[in-house]
Amino acid sequence: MTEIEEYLKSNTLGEWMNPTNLKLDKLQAMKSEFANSSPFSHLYIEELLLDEKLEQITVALSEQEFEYRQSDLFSLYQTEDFEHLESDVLVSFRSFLSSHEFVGYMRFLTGIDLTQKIDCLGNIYADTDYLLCHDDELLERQIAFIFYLTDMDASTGGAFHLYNTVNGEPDKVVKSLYPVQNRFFFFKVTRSSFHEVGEVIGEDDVRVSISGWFRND
Amino acid sequence: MTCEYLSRGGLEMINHSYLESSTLSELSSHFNSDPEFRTLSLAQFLDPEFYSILQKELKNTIFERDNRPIMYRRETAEPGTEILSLLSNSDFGTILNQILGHDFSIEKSTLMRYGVSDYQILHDNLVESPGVDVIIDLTDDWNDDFGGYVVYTDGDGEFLTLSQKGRMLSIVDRGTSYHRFVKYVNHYAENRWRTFLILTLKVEI
Repeated sequence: MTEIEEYLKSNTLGEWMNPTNLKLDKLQAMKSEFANSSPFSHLYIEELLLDEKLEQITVALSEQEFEYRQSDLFSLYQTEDFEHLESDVLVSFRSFLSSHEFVGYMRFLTGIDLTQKIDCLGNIYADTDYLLCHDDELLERQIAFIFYLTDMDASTGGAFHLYNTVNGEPDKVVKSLYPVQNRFFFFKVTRSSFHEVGEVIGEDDVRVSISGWFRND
Repeated sequence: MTCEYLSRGGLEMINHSYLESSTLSELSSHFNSDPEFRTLSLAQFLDPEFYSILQKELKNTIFERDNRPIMYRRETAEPGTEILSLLSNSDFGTILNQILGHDFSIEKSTLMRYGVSDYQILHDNLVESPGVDVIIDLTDDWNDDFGGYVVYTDGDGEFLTLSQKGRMLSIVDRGTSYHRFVKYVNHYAENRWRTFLILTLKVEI
């Protein structure tokens, strides 16, 4: 049995993940999709978690304190890294993401050497919040991820926009992806992984997600 | 193009109270009171009648989109004849000279406006050499909740926010520490524009 086959049969992944995402042939197709994606390597996995886990995380996050943060680049609400929270559910979710098995799963999909060091925090984008164009490159970040807990669409804003580059600089948005609940989106962090989160429009909808980075330090 | 200011016999451009020597002396003291970060804002600086001429000129000014997403999204235009007449006005030069306490030259003048989803962020490639900015606010019908305001920050928690006030002139000595950004303009601005003229001065010390 190969390493990835062992991971797919592990209790760690089985306890958290939807079985449809634990099939080797699907993983191989996703691996190819990641490698061939543009304008920079990215992929999303639909229905990542079992319904019960998704529900637990949604409730646990709704009970957390979010701090408003803004700068020239962004306006949004964030929690502390889940590492520092008292919520058993959120700490467990972080442990799942940084588990030997899930990191191995991500390593298989991306072909990138990753360690079990991750960053992981909750985000809320409310009306008029945004994150402007940047590349995420910092420290030992290898893969950036966003796990969506709410649905958004063109009427609510909050899309994830991917830029192409011309002479090393972001030029135009060439792909836009709206958040879908239980979707796990990730991309390879490079000097050209320019992206932004479009402004959330309207007081009735908020964009809730858990985001972070897989590292290699 | 005809300059309406000149054709109407040289009406007042600047609020006359700013030309009194005692006022200028006070303003200069105020500007220089914090040598670490010298700033001054002059409310109602432009004469209302001249300001309306500028607004008329702005309506006929052709702005061009200027996007570099890693740094800014905005529109810019060449200053028109009415604005140029202000910049060459002797009273305008005298006021700045008195406040700064030194002779100066205008290195760069940029007319810019920010609409919905526009911004300017801090970026290494946008860092300007130490100098003095003069910002003339040409915006009406605006609410700072829309964003679009100018912020000077030293990146260490110290900052100055220039709220929207049409006809206001602000002078900011960026020194080596302070840099400027323009807050993202949100959807509540609808079809409005935050417009200002930014002059970069070289001060002869």
